[in-house]
Amino acid sequence: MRLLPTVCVLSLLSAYTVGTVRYADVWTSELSLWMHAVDLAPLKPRPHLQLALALMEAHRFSEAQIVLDDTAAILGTNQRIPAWDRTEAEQAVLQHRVLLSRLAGTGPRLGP
Amino acid sequence: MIIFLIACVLLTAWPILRVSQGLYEDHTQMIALQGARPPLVVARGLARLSLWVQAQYQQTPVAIRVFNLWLGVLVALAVGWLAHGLGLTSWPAIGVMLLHPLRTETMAQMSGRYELIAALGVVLACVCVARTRVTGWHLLGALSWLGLGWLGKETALVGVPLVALTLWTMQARGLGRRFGGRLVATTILVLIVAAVSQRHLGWTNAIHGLHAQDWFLVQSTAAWRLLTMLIMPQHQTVDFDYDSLGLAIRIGAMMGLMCSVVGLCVLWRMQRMLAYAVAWPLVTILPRLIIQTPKSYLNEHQMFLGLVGIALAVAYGHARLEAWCSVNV
Repeated sequence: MRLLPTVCVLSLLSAYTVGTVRYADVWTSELSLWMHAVDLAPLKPRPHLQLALALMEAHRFSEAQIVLDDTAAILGTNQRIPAWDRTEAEQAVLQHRVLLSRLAGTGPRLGP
Repeated sequence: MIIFLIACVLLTAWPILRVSQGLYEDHTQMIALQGARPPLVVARGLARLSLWVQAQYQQTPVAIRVFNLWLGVLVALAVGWLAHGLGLTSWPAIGVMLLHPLRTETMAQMSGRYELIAALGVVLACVCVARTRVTGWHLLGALSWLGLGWLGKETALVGVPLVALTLWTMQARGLGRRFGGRLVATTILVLIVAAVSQRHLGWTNAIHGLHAQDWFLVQSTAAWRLLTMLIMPQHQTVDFDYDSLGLAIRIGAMMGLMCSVVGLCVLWRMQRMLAYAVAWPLVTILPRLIIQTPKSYLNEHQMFLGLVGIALAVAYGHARLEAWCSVNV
């Protein structure tokens, strides 16, 4: 019984340790970070755009294209995106598409 | 106990250090710092200078995270010192500060350096006044540490009400008694002036374009989420989608925050030390409910300073349970 306070705190700290180890794994690469963010925020443009960049960096161009198409679709359907975020995301989609076409060597494609 | 803590810290540090390149904005920041002149700005100067020095030596993201982890250890020790000053057991507080999942983002990101230096300054300022008799020298010491915190990040200004709260909690005699109330009054006044004047200063339209009431509702939701994550950290992410939450949830979160403040006032009369711990994260996020920040709502790394509250609450719980066991066993 005397050890009860210590046991309680140690149990809590053990749970925190497990939580930290699990979440810190997400921060080991750009891809894991943004894939996790997209999983938790599927209707938010910014994580999608960052994931597209990460995929381009990893030379996974076809997947990056799919993510950019998804982002454009989100911008078209999600009315809850605030104006400032929408404007920035729309510009970023265009810029990312140009970058992707340059990297993939397919020429510019500016439309959604 | 120490071996357990060290083992846990190493276990949590390992995945944070398993990184090959800078993530998110760190990569571009690092390149910009490599070609830049030494930063001469005052606000955030110390944090920027330390990052600049590391960038000049072409240090890897691992080295930057190692430095952040060491700063995290210093902050944890300072919180242990604060817990000791408040008459609580130190190690539970240190343990929470070293192992809580909410600290991950601060340790992993380059910009976490700002939060860490600010937190160190604020906690040490509170350590200066966590005593029963506070003299002018103690207040001067607190002011100096707050200055150091401000060199990390301007959010260290929340240290002013936190120092006042510490003075109140300790019911300090001497200068502390006179200054405590004045500091709280001044802080509230500054926040009201900032809230009223930000639109006239052009801040609101320039940075976000949101109406003050919308900002307050979204930030209340963010604050409520982060407060619950202090107790039960789950579904952590670098960019949570607050915009997808409906108006009912936002109003609910705002009501939750207000109920917390009322509950805090009641708790203050019954368990002052626990109320102090609960007030800590609330005070930390208070300015962000009013003053709009560019392009982002409250993030997890901004709750790093608020972690001190849960650390002190755990230390308080440990002390109470220990007292209960000694009476009943």
